[in-house]
Formats: sequence, C-alpha cells, structure tokens
Amino acid sequence: MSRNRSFRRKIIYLVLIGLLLPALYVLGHPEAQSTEDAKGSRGGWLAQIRSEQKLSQAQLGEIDPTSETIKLATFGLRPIAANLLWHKAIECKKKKDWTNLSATLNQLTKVQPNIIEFWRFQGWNLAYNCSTEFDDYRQRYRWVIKGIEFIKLGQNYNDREPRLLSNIGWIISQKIGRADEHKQFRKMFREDDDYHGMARSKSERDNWLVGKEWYQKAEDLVDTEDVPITGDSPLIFRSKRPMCQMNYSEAIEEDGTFGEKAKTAWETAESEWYELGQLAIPTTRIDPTTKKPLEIRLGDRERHLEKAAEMSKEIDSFAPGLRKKILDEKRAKLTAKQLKAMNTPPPERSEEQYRIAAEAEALLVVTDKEVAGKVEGKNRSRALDLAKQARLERERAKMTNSYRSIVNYDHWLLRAQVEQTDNLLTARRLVYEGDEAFASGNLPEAGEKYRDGSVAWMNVLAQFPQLIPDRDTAEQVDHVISQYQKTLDQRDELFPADFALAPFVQIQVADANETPPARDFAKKAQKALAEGDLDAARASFRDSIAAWNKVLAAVPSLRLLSDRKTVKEITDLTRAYAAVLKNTGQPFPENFGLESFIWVQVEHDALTQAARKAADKATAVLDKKKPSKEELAAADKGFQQSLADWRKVLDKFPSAIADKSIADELMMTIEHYKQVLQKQDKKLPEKFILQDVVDRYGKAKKS
Amino acid sequence: MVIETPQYPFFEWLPLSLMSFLLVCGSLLAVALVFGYLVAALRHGPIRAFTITARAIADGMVDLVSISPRRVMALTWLSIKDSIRRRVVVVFGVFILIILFAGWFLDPGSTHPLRLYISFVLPATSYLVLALVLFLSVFSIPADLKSKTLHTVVTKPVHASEIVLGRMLGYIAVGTIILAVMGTISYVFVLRGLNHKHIVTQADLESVGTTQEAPDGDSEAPQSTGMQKGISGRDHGHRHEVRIKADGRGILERTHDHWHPIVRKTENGETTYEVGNPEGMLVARVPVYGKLRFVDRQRKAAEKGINVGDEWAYRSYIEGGSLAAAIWSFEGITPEAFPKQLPVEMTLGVFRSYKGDIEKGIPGSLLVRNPKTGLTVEAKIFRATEFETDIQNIPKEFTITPSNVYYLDAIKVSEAEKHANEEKDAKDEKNAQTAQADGEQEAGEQIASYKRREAGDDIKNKGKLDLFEDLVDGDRVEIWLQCLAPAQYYGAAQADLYLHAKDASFFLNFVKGYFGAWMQMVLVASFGVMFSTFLSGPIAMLATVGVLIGGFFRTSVIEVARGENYGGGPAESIIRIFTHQNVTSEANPGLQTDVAQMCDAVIQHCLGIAARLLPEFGQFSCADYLAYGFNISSTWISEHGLTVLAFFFVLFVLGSFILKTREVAR
Repeated sequence: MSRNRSFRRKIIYLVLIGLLLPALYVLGHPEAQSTEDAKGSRGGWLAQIRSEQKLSQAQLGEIDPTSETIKLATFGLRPIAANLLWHKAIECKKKKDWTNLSATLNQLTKVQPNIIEFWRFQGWNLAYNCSTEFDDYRQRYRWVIKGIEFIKLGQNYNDREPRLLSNIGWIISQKIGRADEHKQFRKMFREDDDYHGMARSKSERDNWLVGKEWYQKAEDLVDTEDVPITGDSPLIFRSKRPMCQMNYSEAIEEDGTFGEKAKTAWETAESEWYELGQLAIPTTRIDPTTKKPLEIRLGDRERHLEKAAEMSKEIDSFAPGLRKKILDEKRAKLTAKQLKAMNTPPPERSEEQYRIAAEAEALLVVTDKEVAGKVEGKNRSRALDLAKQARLERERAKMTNSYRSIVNYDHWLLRAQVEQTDNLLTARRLVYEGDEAFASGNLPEAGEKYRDGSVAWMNVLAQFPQLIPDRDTAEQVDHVISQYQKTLDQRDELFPADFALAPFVQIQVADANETPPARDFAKKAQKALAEGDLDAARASFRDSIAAWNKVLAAVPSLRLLSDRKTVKEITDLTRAYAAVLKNTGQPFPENFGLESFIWVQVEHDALTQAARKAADKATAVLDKKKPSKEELAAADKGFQQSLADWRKVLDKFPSAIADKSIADELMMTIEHYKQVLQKQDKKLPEKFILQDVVDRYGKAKKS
Repeated sequence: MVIETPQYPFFEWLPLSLMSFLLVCGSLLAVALVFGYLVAALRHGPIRAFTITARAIADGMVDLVSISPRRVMALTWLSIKDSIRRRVVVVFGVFILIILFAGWFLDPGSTHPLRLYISFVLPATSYLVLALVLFLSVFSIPADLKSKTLHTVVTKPVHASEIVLGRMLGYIAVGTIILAVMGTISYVFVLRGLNHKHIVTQADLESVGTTQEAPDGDSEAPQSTGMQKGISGRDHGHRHEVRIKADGRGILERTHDHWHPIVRKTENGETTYEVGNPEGMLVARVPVYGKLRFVDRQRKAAEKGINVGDEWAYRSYIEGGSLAAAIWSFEGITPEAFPKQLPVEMTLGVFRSYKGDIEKGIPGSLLVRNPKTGLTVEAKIFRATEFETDIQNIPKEFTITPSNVYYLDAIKVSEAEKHANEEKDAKDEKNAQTAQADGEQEAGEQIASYKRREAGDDIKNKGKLDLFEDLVDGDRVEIWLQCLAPAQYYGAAQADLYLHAKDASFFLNFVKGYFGAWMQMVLVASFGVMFSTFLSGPIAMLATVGVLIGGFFRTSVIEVARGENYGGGPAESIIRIFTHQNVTSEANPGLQTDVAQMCDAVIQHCLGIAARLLPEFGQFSCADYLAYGFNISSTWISEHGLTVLAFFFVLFVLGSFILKTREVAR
C-alpha cells in the first residue's frame, strides 16, 4: 500500500467524522441551564425526549458518581453484570451467606439504581425472607430495618416513585406491627435511636405512625408533583394511611394504653376515613360526557340514594297511587306457587321456595321508569327525565358501594366511631386488666374485671346492634367469654346467673351448626312422645343429645352455664330422655354425652351442698368408738336428711344416676348410713329413698 | 465456616493424587507419542517416523536434563525486564483506584466486617494479578516470534525448555512481586478499615450491682459498687453493651465479631473512659475437626439427619426432645493440646416447627462420650445462637449428679443382620452400604444403635469424673449434640462444630491467604506460556481464559459431562432454548432430538476429559478461611502447593516439547 493511498484514506475518514459531528450535535447535545450571562438551551433531540419523558438522571433522583462510573466502566455489559450479581445474590441467600448477600446487593445498587422492581423485591427479600432465617428475634429486627433502609436508599435514587415510599410504609407498619414477634419488634422500634435519630421523640416512634408518615409522603408526591400512582389502585393507595391510624389505635390498646390517648387516636382514625370518603376516586368506568374515568366519592352513597328517593317521590307526586296500582297488577300476575313461597316465613322455606320467592320479589319491583312511563299529561316528560336521573343516582350509589367494599369502608368507619365511645374504651380497658390479672395468676381480680368487662361489652352491643354480626366483634366478645370461663373454671365457679353476655352466648348457640338439628330432634322426640311411640322418642332424644354435645364443644362456655336459658333447654331434654327410658324400663346409659355438663350442675346445686354437709356431719359418729344413742339417733336423722336431699337432686337431674363419681359417693353415703343403722340394730327401710341407686350399683359393689 | 468439600489428611491424599497424576501423565504421553508418530509417518514413512519419534524423545529428555540454571536465570531476568518495559506498574494504579473506591461498596455496619473486607480485597487483588499475568504470558513468545527476537535467542546455545522455563519463572516472579506489594497494601487497608473506637461517656452508663451499707452502719445511704453498664456510642454502624467492673476495667461486649477493652479514668474529679482498639476480630483459629455421624430418634445409626426442606442440603437436622443426636468423633485430644478445658465452638442451624418462646433460643445439650467404654456425661446445656459462633467450654472435671452420668453402649450389627442386609434389594443394599460406610467403626465392627445403661456405683461413688482419664480413650473422644426442645430442630454439618485448639498469627494467615492467589497466578502464567508456544497471542489468550473459566466452573462442566444437569447436553439445550421447552420435561421425541442427543454424547465425553484435565481454580482460593478467622492449615498448603507444582511441571514439559518441534526453534 502506498503512502498516498493511506494518506487519502485518512483524509476521507476525517471528512466523514466532520460530517457526522453536526448530526451528532443535533441529536445528542446536552441540555444547558440558563444563567445570568447566558441563555440555556433545551439540548438536542435525544435530550429533549429524555426531558419530556422525565428520564434524565437528574429527574429520576440523586446522582451517584460511583453508580455512574460503574455504569460507564461496564462498557455496555451492565445487564450481564446485573444478571451475574443477581445470580450471586440468590446463591448467597440459598447458602445463608448474609455478609456476601449484603455486599452483593450493595454492588447491585450501583449497577441498576433506577430499576424500581429491584429495590422493591430486594427490600422485601431482606425484610421478610432473610429476617425470618434468623432464630434470634433481635437479629430478625435488624434485617427488617436493613430492608427498610435498602428501599430508602432506592428512594434517594428515585425520588419520584410513590411505590417505593409506599413500600417503606408497608414494611414499617405491617412487618413490624404484624409479625409473630410484633410485641418485641414494636418495642425495639420505639427504642431504636439509630434508626430514628434524635429528631423523633419516643412517643412518635410507633411503627404504625411512622409507616403512616411514609404513606403520607407517597400521597403528597402524587398530589403535589403530579406523579401517577402505579402498582396500586388509587383507592387502595389512599386507604393505607387511614388503615395505619386504625392499626395504631388498636395497637396502643393492645399495649395497655386507654383513656384520652386511645380516644383521640380513634377520633383521628374516624376523621381520616371521613377524609377518604370525600376524595374523588377515579373508577374504571368512563364518563360518557367527559370521556374521562368516572370519579366517585365513597362518602357520597347516602347522598346519591337520598337524591334518588326524592326523585321517586316527585314522580309519585305526579300520579298518586300509581306505583301501588302497578305493584298490585304485578302481584296479581304471580302464580300460586310463587305466592305460596312468598307467604311462607323465611325460616320455614325450602331451598326451592327460597329461589322462587327471590324470583317473585324481583318481579314485584316497580321501577321509576315504569311509573314515569304511565304518567300522563304535562308532567310526563319531567317524570321520564327524573326516572332516568334517579336510575343514574342509584347506579352511582351502587358503584360507590362496590368501591366501599374494596376497602371495607363501612366496617372501618363504624369501627372507628364505636371504638371512641366510653363504653367500648371501658370494656377494652377492663378486659386488658383482666388479661393482665389472669396472666399474673390473680384470678379473683381477673374474674371481677371480666365480669365488669362483659357488662361494658353488652352495653356496646346494645348501643351498636349492627356490630353483632361482625366477625371481628364476635371474636373479641368471644375472647372475653372464654377468658372469663377459664378464670371461673380454675376457681371452680359458674358464670353468674345474670351474666351480661348471655344474649351473645344465645347467638353463638344459634349460629352453631349443630343447634338446628339438636332442636329438630328434640321436637321430633316430643312429637313421638305425644303419639306414644316411645322407641322413636328415645332415638330422637339420643340424637338430640348427641347434637347438643357438639354444640357444647362449639360453645364451651355453656358448660359453666353462661346462658341459663339454653342450659335449661338442654337439662329439660335430659329429664325428658330419662323419663322415656324409665317408661321403657331401661337404665340411663353411663356415657350419654352430656354427663360432664350435668355433673357441673349437680356439683354446684344447693341441694347437693346440703346433702353433703348433712352426710359429713352424720358420718363423724362412725369415728367414735362408743357413740351414744342420742348421737346415733342424730346421725340417723342426718343421713335421712342427706339422702332426702340426694333424692331431690336425682329427681332434678335424673341422668346423674348414671354418673359414676356421683354413684360412688351415694353408695358410700348409703354404706355409712347402713353402719349407723347396724349400730342401732336397724336395717335399711323396705321403701328406701334411694332404692334405685342401690338396685343399680348394689350388685356391682357386691360382685 | 462452610466447608462443602472435605479435606483429606495429607498422607491419605498423596498416594491417591499421585496415582491419578501418573495415570493422566502416562495417558497424555501415550496420546502425544501416537499422534507424533502418525504425523511423522505421514510425512516420512512409518519406519523413518519411528526413528524421528525416538530421536525427538531422546532430544527432549536431553534438553530437559541439561537445563542450565544460569541460562534460565538470564531468561527469567529478560522476562522481568520485558514486563517492566510493558508498564506492568499500571496495574498498581488500577489497584489503588479500586482500594480508594472500595469504601463505597463496603458496608461498615456489616455484622461480620472481616468477612466483608477479605472477600473484597483478596478477589480484587487476585483477579487483577491474574489478568496482568495472563496478558504478559500469552503475548511474550508470539511477540518474540513476530519481532524475530526469538530467532536471535535460538542461535545461542539455549534449549527450548530453558526458554519456556525462563518465561514461566519470569512472569511468576513479576506476579509474585506485584502480589506481595498489593498484599501489603491490602493488609494495611483491612487493618485501617476495621480499626475504630467507640465513644463512651458518663451519660451512656448507669451504676449497677448490689449497693452496700455505708461503713458506719448507721447511714442508709447506698454506696455505689463502682460497677457500670450501658451502651456505647455508635461507630462503624454498631454499638456495644458496656460492662465496667469495680476496678474501673471492663469491656465493650462482643458484637460484630469483636470487642473492645475499656478503662475508667478519674482526673480532677472528672471521669473519662478510654476505649481500646477492636479485639478478637483479626484471628486465625486452629480448629480440630471431628468426623460427623448421626443417630435417629431411636438412637439408631443413621446416614444423615432430617431434611427440613432447605434447598441447600449442607446441614442435616436432628429432632429435639428425642434421642436423635449429631456425633462428632475427635482424635488427637490430649492434655497437652487442651491443658485447661475443651473449647467447643459451634455454628448451628435452628429450625422451629412451631413458634415457641420467641424471646429464648432453642435449648440443647452437649454430651461427652468415651468411644471405648461408652461412659457419657452431660457436659453442657445451652441455648443455640444461629449464624454466630457459640463458644462452650467443656471443663476438665465433671461433678457427678444422679442423672448426668450414664453409659451409652454401642450395639453392634450381628453377622446375621449383615447377611439379611445383603439379601435386600439393590436400593436397600446400597443404602445399607452407605450407612455402614458412614457408621462408627469401633474395634473393626459397625454400630447399629446405642442403648442407655445407668452408671454403676463404682462411677457414682467417685463424685467427680476427669475428662482425660474417664472420657478420652487414648486421644479419642466423642461429642454428642442433642436438641432438647420437642419438635424443634438443630442443623449441623461436619465443620459446624470443632475444638478450638489455639490461635495462630493472623498476619501469617493473611500471607497464606495470598499464597492461594499466588498459586492461581502460577497456573495462569504456566498455561499462558504453554499456549503461547504454539498459538498466536490473541488465540493463546482465549485458550488461557477458556482454561481459567473452565477451571472456575469445573464442577458445573463435569455435571454437564455426566448429564446431571437439567435440560440435557449442550445440543439438546440449544434446541430447548429456541423451541421454548421446559428443561424438566422430556424432550420431544423425533429425529431432531435423537441427533442432538447423539451429538451430546460425543460433546459430553470430550467435555468430561477436558474438565478432568483442568485445574479447579476456585479450590486454590482460601479467602473463606481468612475471612472466617480460621488458620489455613499446612495440609491445605502442601496439597494445593503440590497440585500446582504438578501442573507447572506438566505444562513446562509440554511447552518445551511444542516449542522444540516448531520450525523457528530448530
């Protein structure tokens, strides 16, 4: 190759480079800010697009020189480096090499600082997955904080990302506040000076409140910076903050804080739910007029319904009595089968009748459109217009309702309102104090607190009957009853006869799966008895008792007589069963299912106490070597009194005769009575008061 | 520290490795001779080819034995000067840059800071030196050929072997010097990076201890005992609990793998606290490892413990509240080696099947058993700490209580049972054999299970047991680990429990750590020079990089060669990638799959041979030992050193022969 050719080629290259430079400048010259001396420029084509799409590093967040250096140093192999590092991180986690996992994640932060999912996934991984690998809860807490700090770092690099702010809020609130170790975590979080710094006082260090702060930051970012909400629906996104306040209020009560502080917390929660109800929430439906997503407000449902009702009323005013007339016409068209189904009370309807009645009720609905359609004269067009608007209002109310159900708006709002009442605050305080006393073994105080707590809870339920079907409320009331039951059980006591929550126990009984069959079998038994079919009655009684036994397992407080009404119903049933057995000449079976339930009643019956007392006093004479005649006569009388009382007990609880422990006690008393009689040269009377007991157990004893 | 590949004692390893080495060398020699003969036969006919081959061997042998150290030294020096001319010093600049920016990657708050620092500096140094030596070695001889320098050299009375050896030694020398300098810088970096002092003030502490009555006895004013406790200031991302004794001396409690001494000073009525440098971090523990085996919940010998569902099956688990135990058999336990006590160090895994008491660890016990007599003592009750080294010192003397001493008698497998095992189906037989292999061998017989027997009065009346007299048989002892909480589990691997014999010098350990990197560098230099004797520079570099990558991923390559990975061999995998097939399902039957699998059979065979010839580069790194504070044993050094020497020798001979056969060298 000659030197000339080589030189010529170099010149060509230079010319080409020279030609490309302007094109490159047009495409890629950077943006310049305006200064006092010089006017700025919007930059080249690429710079403008980047600026419009908010993709420049300065717009994304903090610029990290290390990260930029590494991105450049990888010479376009950044994805491969990221891939290798991810692989290494997964391997480190698998092999529980936490030090190198941290180091690898640290490197990854430099390689892909603007990948939001990276921050979210690894932050969650550290806080939720890695933390649980540790057995010591203090180390677990450290890893939760690591996860939080990790996402915070990501937030610095991506300061226009509400998802990361929301994630931080979630981990601080939910992970710390809901983990198995939440008591320990919450305490450590409060005392963590390193995390909070000195700026935040200890009273502000509740994890739910701090989490709420981060949710607030996320909302502020969306509201002030016009950043779109991604990942969550707007409603879910906005509901996290008031939920944090709810959880905070609940948590401080769990920690034993009541009174004004708790009340204020619940009031704040209510106002935050109310604020949420006033926010315009975009829906998935497009408004036909504006062609934009239709907006609703959760708090507007009642207003929509009121407006619709007013419109219906106005339509009715145009043709009074027309709606009733249409309804009557529709009713007249119903078939006999439909009418029968509708006229049958709901509890007595068969499955098919339920379906038919529902269809018939749908047919009987008279819409505003139907009424308006029959309005005559000058008001007709107004009526039709009103009917259309009323339909729209009702649709809006329905949609609002479905959006409310997404965040359980009605429930939480009601809860916030109820929780701030003095009755519930008192109930919660008493139950908390009862729990504390129970845990420390102070059973008398625990019993007292639970009793008063039950009264307070009943007041709450009377004030807010809509809470009764609520599952959360049911669980809390059940906690009071079961704790009270444990306390009474350990003290060998029964629920007081006027137990305040007895009506709630009745609801529990009614809700138990086996209650309807138990009652059905009892009815069948009574019917068979009335018809004189003793075998059928006996079988039905047996089935009813078996079903009641399952009810007792579902509502264990009944065993300690929490609801006297139900207790009486079951006890009467056993009496009736005993009567049938007696009539058919069969002994009462030993393990008939409710023996422990009856035993508790026998044990706590006043007659039993009196019978025992008399027998104990009379037995004392047997310890004497040579008792006097008077003493023997007094003992004789005492035994007679005791046995008479026992007779009354057995008449009151006929199934008790089948109870082995009661029978042993009775046989022992009879034996002692015989000895007293022997010492007086007497025998048991022929018509002995407890002859049935002797007949049943006497032989067994002899054998 | 995790040790996934067990290390054999040197004298067990040597004959096996030597045999393997000779076998491979012999095979290579045979292949080379056949290949050489065939080439010569094609060019000069079969009879002359025989003479040529014989002469080549003879010349080669003469060439090898007549190496002149003086000439080799001259050529080595030439290589060093050549390297300096190529501005190797640039690598220092890169290294200093990396060290300067290292702080951005290293989290000072790490719970194991030494691990973090070592796992950064050692690989960084190692990779830089490997890259440098790679570039130097692969381009040297091709550059000499291109610049005709080699033609001048071969006109001198220099053998080809001397040229190759000179080049190899030269570049190794350059790499060694660079590694030494970088190692020194790294050592200073680690020391400075880890060194820190916490601030402790009067406000951080509170007085503790029983208050004493004033000396006059009348006053009720309490007197401080002088003992204090509290929390230190934050430094390097952590704080310590502080405990100061009445005499004013105390410690900042152990956390993040270290502790600090602290002294209280009072001058002019003002109290200050002087905190010392971190201690207990830069250590090189000398561990005595035992051989691990298991017994199940009925105390029957088991191959392994329970798998609790961990993806990584390194640790095997024992069930709590049962008779299951992990048993380590130790040798070399003498009063001279452990004069004060038996320091047991453990890093256990904990698996809870239910939450239990969150605030307390899972309790466990350590039993010490005499492997001969079966006499066992419950030595320690402890609560496990996961991912931390738990230190339990077993005393030399045990006070006997009614329940802490008993016998665990080994029940041996009878001949009849052995016979019954043989009758079982193939799978069971295999399992039984594995179990036997791992089971205890006591007096040449295998143990099936253990049975508890109460100690007699002769033992109970002694009052105390002596560790070495009663529980150590010769120099052997067993340590049994049991989990005491029912339905909770302890996980353990062989290296998870060891006896801490003594501490070696951390500095020397650091040097040994760099010796691992040095060995990798020697291998790269040797491969580079060997390849450069017959390949052009860039191709030689690719070949060496290939060896390097293959060596680092040798285990994976062998898995592919054995067909143990999912998705079939390379050809089948390519088809799966392009047809988006699941790797776990059977390949679609058909001609395409058949052809791919046939190709794979050939490729896998070749891969298998190639992988077995490669050095396992990862094994030469001992960064983990250094990072976890364990002494790198002389056995490790000798075994790996010998392996490197063997590779060096083979590559040198291979390079010499190849260079000799090239036209230019004649």
